[in-house]
This record gives sequence, structure tokens and C-alpha cells, in this order.
Amino acid sequence: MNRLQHQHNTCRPPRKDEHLPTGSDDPYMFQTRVALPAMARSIHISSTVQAKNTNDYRSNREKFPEDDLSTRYTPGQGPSALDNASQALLLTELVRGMWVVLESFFRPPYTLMYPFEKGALSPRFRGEHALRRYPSGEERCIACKLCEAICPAQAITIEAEPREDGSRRTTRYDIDMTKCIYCGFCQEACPVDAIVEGPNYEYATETHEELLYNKEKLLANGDKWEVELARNLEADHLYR
Amino acid sequence: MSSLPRTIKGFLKLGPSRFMRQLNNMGDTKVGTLIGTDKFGNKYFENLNESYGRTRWVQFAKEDSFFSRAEANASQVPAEWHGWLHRMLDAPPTIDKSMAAPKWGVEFTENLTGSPKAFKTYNTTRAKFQAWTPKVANRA
Repeated sequence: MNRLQHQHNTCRPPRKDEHLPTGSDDPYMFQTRVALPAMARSIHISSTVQAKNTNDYRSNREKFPEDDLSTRYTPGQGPSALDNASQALLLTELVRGMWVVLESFFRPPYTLMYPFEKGALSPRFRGEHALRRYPSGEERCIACKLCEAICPAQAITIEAEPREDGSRRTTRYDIDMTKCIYCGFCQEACPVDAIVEGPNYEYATETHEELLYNKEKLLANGDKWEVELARNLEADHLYR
Repeated sequence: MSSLPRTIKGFLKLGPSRFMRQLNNMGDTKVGTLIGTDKFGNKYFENLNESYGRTRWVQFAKEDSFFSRAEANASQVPAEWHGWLHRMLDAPPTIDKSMAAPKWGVEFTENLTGSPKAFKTYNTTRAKFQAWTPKVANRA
């Protein structure tokens, strides 16, 4: 079926004065005009499926035939010069555009009024880093340096020493937050869930220096956010 | 600025004082049920009839008023309420009692950048090199 025929049969009934290619004296005309839209629909199933995923108006042709007619005219069938002139002179496009503006004036706004309303976050959100502690208060990090090894931006620096009680702990745990690319590899590498990327993203600073986090800052972050960090890890534990 | 009917409704429900405060801060009038108040005095509201994504909001304790400006800060929402406000959790911490800070937790602070209490990085290790203080041996 060619496209012209398809348009004729699916879009709209022909005007009285319009000359159809099938010819008005065709005895099978009625039948074809009823049967063809169904056929066209069955043939164009793929195009209607496509229409959900695309803005291409051509694939929405069956859904919005009037759009197609208004943009593509078969020669000799479009609006007359008088129609065009009256549309242009009466500024109907402008009026229609302003009507859309007026409508949205009476609709509730979609704008999210940050910081009073905030966007939805996933429990897996990778924001500001924190070093966690065990419920006893003992720090989790055992200075295995896996996070330092996996960090693709090499933002983590670790130095370790045995503590007074003989357990191995970090003496230096620095993260350069301006190097970090927030990939989350460090928390994936961590065998004791010590380094995590928390849900906080509101830690912008005025100076570069404030973003060079050391161990104390990271532990303080963990102490501040522990409620939510623990809850987020719990939400994710089935997938780990 | 919000739509006209919504603003008029907001005025009637909120009263003139709250109405002006909200327009000053949020730039919108929002009516909802008070879900809870955190330890800093921030109030949390919910109205499920709002459009998607705007159902939960916070009214900061330090919101702008005639006497004070620019003291409210997005990072003033404490960790207990953060998940609820960001729609990670269904239940607010007033109902979900497991959302309580551990005993060893520290006081929640807002982002202190620009203030005297801003974090300034420092070295946490002991010095790698000790300066050598030369000792002059006595001449015979």
C-alpha cells in the first residue's frame, strides 16, 4: 500500500469536492474504505509501538491524523489561499500559544522548591564519604587498603600502624573529595563496611582546603550520619 | 509564584502571617499536616494531594523573617529526618523508632563552611622526620 492511499483511508473522510484516486464510480470503494483502515492498523502495529518511544510525528500519524494533515498537504487538497491568509492575519497561532500560557497559569506549579522540598534519593545514593563504627563505638576500618588500591582517581591515602593495644589501625585516612569521582568502588571493596558513601550531598564548601578530608572528618561524618547509613546498608543487604 | 487559586486557598488556610512567611521563603503556599518536629525546631509537613515529588517538605526553624535573613540552610535537616524528607523511607522517625542516633553519635551540624567552625584539614600522623639537633662534642 502506498503512503497516499494509506493517508486517505486512515485519516479522515474525503471532502465532497475532493477527487479520490480510487474514483467515485468504483463499486468496491465503500468496501475498501472500511477494510483498509483495519489493514493499515495491522500493518502499522510496529509504528504504533514505536510511537511510545519517540517524538517523531510520523510514527504518531495514526494516533494524531490531524497533525499530519496540518503539516503535510497532498497537492491540491490543502487549505485555500484565503484560509491561509485569514489564519495569518488574525494571528491565530499567537492566540493559541498565549492560551497555553493562560492554562498553565491556573495549574499547580511543578517546580520543586529546594531546599524546602527535596528530590527523591535512592538508598544506594553515593554522596559524601563517611567512616563507620561498630555499635560498640570501635572504628571499623582495619587499614587493609583495598579502597586505596581500587580507587580509580587515587583520591584515598592510607597509612597504618599498630595501636597501643596491638590492633592494626589507620593513622592517616585522607580522601581528596575534589579528586573523587564518586564511583563507589571504595565502599564495594571494603570488607568491613567501614568506608561508605552516605546520602549527604549538601557539603559544598567555599575553599578547596575544606574538601581535603582527613580521618577525623570522615569519622565525624560517620557519627553524624550513622542512623541513615545503617538504614541504607540494611535496605541494600539483599543485593550484596 | 504559584497559581492564583492555589495562592488564594493558601491564604485562607494559612492565615496572613504564615502566608507571607511562606511566600517569602518558599515562594509558594503549601498546606499540609504536621508530621513532626526535629530537635532543632525544623517542622516537617506532608500533603499527599500535592503533585508528585512535592508531597513532603520542611519548614526551617531559621527561616527568613523580617529580622533575620539567609540563616536557613539545606543541610540543616538532621540524619533522622533526611531519609523521610528525601522519600527514601515511608515512615517518619516519630513512628519509626529505629531511626534514632546511636549513643556515641555526635551532635548533627549543618554545613559549616564559611563560618569560623569550618573544617580545616590537618595531618593525623606523627611527623616522618625529626629535625636533627647537632651536639657539639667538647674539644679535648
